[in-house]
Amino acid sequence: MRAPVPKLIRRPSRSAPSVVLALLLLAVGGLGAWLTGHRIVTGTWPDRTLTTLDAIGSTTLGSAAVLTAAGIAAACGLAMILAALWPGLPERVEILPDGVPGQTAVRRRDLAKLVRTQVEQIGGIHSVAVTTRRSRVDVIVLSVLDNLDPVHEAARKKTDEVLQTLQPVGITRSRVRIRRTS
Amino acid sequence: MRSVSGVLNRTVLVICGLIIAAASSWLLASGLSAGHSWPDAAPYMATAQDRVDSIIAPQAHWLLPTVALVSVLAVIFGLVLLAMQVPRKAAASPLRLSDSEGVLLATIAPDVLSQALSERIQDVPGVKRCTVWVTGSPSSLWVQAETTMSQDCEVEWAVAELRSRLEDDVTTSLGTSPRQVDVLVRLERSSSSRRFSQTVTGQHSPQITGNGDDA
Repeated sequence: MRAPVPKLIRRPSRSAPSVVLALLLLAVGGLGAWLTGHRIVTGTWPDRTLTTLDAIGSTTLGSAAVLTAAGIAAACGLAMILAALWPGLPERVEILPDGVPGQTAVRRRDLAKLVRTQVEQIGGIHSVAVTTRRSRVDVIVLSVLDNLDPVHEAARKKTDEVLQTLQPVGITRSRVRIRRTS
Repeated sequence: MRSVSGVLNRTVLVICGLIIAAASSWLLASGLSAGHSWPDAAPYMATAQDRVDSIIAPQAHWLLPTVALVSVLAVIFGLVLLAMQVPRKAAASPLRLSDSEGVLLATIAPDVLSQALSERIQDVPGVKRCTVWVTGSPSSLWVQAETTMSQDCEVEWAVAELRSRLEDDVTTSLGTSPRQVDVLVRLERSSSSRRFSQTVTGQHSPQITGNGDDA
């Protein structure tokens, strides 16, 4: 089966919750098919499940076990509805717009890697951690120097340079913080 | 380019989430005796003292075959849903080249053009791997490329070079410029220079004993 041409920048496809739901359907459906199939063919429930089925049958709806199970199921159902309706942040960002029709995209993680690689080249920096938010890049610089201001300023300048070069669509701001490390 | 349908996944999640939430809400409402405080809904609910088997027993004659059928359908649906999570390729039809009078001159399989474009792109400095997909018609071609680049390369230069190369190559080979050129850039996962710098900064500097005149 073939799919239509996908866009490069798209909302999360919610594969993980769908896989969980599929496994849940397989488990519950398989159990139900086995139990009811056995009952329809032989006229009795499977021997191994008699005790459990009796215990479930004799439980009242107001018991703690039923209420807990119903509460967990309701929470799972609501989580599934939220996962489906919440648009989510696109995993990729458009960068480097140019005259050629079409777009260039990069994963947010890779954009962070590109910024980190550039900022790490500044002297006096021990390590750099970069996170890309919805409209901002957060940079945390660790330095061993006593005077952090020049490094902070250089890191901020370099981050802005990288953003100006790559021109990530929707990401225009940066926040650079510096900490001393021993 | 391969992809998973997000719309289908979200639709399935909403439908199943609503069914699960509705069923469990009924159980919760019945278990918590919500009928006492909301008399209008009481006829549609069980009471907290009802046993599970006493609710099922009156409907056993139709409930058993229904549950069996629903279980089998759930298994089938679960398998289909799992299969849907495998990324699928976009539809691509053979590219038919015709002359000005509409007479068919040649037919090119999209994979042939994709392979040729991939090989051209891999010559661009900094590009480690590249996969190209083409779809559409020769007069309106949609090119999608997924490239893996070295972290240390000039990404902006490499991207500009490969995009213009893709556009030029398609224009040269088919006679018309592509409708759209999409490029997905990935960075190479490991970088030897980064590992090296981490190793160096992670260790104490070598101690110097004595003075340099000993040598």
